[in-house]
Amino acid sequence: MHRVKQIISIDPLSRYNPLEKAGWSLELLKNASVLVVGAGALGNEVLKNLALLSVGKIFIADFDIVKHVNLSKSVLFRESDCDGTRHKATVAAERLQEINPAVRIQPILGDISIDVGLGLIRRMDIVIGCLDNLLARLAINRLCFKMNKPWVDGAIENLAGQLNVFSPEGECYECRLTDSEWAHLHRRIGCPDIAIQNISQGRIPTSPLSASVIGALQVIEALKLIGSPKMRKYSRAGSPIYFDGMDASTLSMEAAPRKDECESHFAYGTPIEASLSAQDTVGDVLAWISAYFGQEDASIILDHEVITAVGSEMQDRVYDGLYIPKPHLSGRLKSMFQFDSADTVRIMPGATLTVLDKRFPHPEMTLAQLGVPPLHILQVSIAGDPVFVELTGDERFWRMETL
Amino acid sequence: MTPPNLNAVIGLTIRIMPSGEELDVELPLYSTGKEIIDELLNQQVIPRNSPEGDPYVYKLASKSLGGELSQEKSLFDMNIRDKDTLLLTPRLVAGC
Repeated sequence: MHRVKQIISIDPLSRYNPLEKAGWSLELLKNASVLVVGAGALGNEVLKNLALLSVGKIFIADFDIVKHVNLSKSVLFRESDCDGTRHKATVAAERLQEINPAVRIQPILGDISIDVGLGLIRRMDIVIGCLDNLLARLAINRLCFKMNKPWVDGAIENLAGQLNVFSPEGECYECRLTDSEWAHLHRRIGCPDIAIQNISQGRIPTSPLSASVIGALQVIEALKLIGSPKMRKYSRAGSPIYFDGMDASTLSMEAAPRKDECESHFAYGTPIEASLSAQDTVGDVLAWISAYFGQEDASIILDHEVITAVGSEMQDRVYDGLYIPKPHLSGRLKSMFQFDSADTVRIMPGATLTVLDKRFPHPEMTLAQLGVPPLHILQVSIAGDPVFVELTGDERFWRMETL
Repeated sequence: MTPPNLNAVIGLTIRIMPSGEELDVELPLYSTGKEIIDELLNQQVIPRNSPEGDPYVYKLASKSLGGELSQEKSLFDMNIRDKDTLLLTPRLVAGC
């Protein structure tokens, strides 16, 4: 009997075809870059969904390690991960790779407030927030709005949850903060005795049930914005949802009106891509900027304060010449000095700087030492005019070329 | 339609989220959402802060209307009826 050899080619993405039939573009999803901030209960659900849907590049930012308390609500974590050394972002990245080897994943072991450069946000199509505090949400909002990117926020408690889609042309997280929330934030930001890194105490009951629902809704909303031009019109941007798990219903909540005076509304212009790195010295970076613009009068405006002196009440002593980025102050002070836990350590009046120019006394210090994250976009003043310079040399730091 | 007198009261169920605890209350028909929330806070029926210390921002929503209620308008203005259920929802913060 004559046999006909039939060649069957199998599309590696064929298992995702049902999604395409539903109107999504697999090509868009494959080429999409998504940053997920927070790899806890919500983050696990969001990440799992993104990997199953074959979203091309997934970045995971979280500074925390896996603990036993995470196991009952996090699908990606195992008992063996709880040895006190394994970061949530690293473990989640490994598990996603098992779920879908085609997805490219980069864990970021850091805090969104201080460790993620704007250049990374610039390369994302969307950011998904799976956080547990106001400060990190405010940080994401400002980063995303500077880079003109939307972000999807989720939150859960017991069987309830909420979903918000924020975008530079729509609802703004910062605009909806109330006076009491600002007071709380100012206490956290202004206090030198505690790290700004906002570590959850795990006192709020969260469950994998509400995390599944809200995590799924977050990904659906993200896909509407990045996975199909046709679906954009269905986005819930500016139409928050409250999910009530008690009777499985959703409520439409009101978006907060935009305020004129809001720091988040400051958008950066297109940056100049420089072959610089956060590991370069202040002197070298200033020299590069001066040469590029042909202008000696150049200064870098930092996004945070650098603290140069603190005083110990108990020791009745001032420690100066420090140059510690304020977001890192608590941790650095603990590692550098033996302050008594009952001591009150204060930032000395006038001992802060936010501008680096030719008068900066330590041009040999690197930008990283002064708290500038890799791939950041520097705000630069050239003879008084603002320009933006990206530390594009740090692309290799986040494996941008190979991802 | 003749508006009810200024002293009219209606009976409502307020479901306090996210715990789902229900509270049967009688409220003046002309009380606003803000007045109701303030009174519940003042009587310590609902907490001002989450267990993590973040301030709670409360909203009132109607189950029957399917959405958030204005904090400035009265129950009468918002067409809330006797025996309706309102949801008191804090803006959630947790996610881990």
